[in-house]
Amino acid sequence: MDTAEARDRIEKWFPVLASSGYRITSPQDVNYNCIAWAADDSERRWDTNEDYYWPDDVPRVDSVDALINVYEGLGYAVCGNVDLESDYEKVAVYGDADGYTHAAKQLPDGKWTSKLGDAEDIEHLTIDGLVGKDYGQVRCILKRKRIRA
Amino acid sequence: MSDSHTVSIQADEIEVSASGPWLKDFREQPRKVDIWRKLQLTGVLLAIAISSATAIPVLPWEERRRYNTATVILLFGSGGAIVSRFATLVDQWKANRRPVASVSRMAMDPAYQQIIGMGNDAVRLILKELELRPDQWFWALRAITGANPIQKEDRGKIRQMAVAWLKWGKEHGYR
Repeated sequence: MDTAEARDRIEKWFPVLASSGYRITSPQDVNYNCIAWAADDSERRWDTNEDYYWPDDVPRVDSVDALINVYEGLGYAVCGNVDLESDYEKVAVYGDADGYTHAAKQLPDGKWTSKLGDAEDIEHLTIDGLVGKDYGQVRCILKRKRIRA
Repeated sequence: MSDSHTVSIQADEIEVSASGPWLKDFREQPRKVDIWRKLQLTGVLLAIAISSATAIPVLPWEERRRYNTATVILLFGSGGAIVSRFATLVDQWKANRRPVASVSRMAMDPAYQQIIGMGNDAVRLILKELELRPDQWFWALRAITGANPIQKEDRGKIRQMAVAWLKWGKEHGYR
């Protein structure tokens, strides 16, 4: 899982990641993507393409706003910072000129978890570690009240 | 003319259990083929053999051992060329694959687009690939065939989506 080949591939995609800190937490898996992962779903791929799951009440368009609507539908609301708040869980939405590109979810310890396309899940220390060619910039942070078990 | 047959590899020999008009030539020159290309496309050894024959690149013993019980699909003539092209494009797509969230971005990959451009020739090969290693082939299948066999409740569930397409393929004579 956390092999030299995987790290080499991931660090080519995200040159900043190695210096900002990360670890690989799953094998490659095509069954879900980052949008699903940040929505706590590892059984389905969430995508605006008609073949895939997408919430019925959100337009099937690849815009950042549409993705924000997806998470708002799950109880998240736009917030202003990435700081850890123990009573809240947070999602970061990334985007570029063509629309949304990625979503990452904050873990209870303040680190972040991301599914990298059809590849591995990673745990990363900062959301900036994934900024760059593939994911563009962080465009929005959302948060919702954490549900305690 | 193309044809496909299932054969099995036993150690360093090829045991052909199928029959067909091409088989006699193959038996006469069992070690001579133009292309002996092993691919891990499908989790099985896919051997592409073209009968015109110059020299066979012999697989290293360890690799033969590794695959000696595998099932291979042997294709001759134009079928072999199609499979070879498909295999090359799949390799390119997977090698160039980016960590994108969106299938529409993924499908813009030039190799993936060329697979779509192969049209019906690619459908049987995509379905075989989908059966053995489910992946994001649904865009390509829809683009080529115009069909949409995925039920709403299965959207996004890759294995169920694959099953739906395999069923569709069987019903439409692709398998």
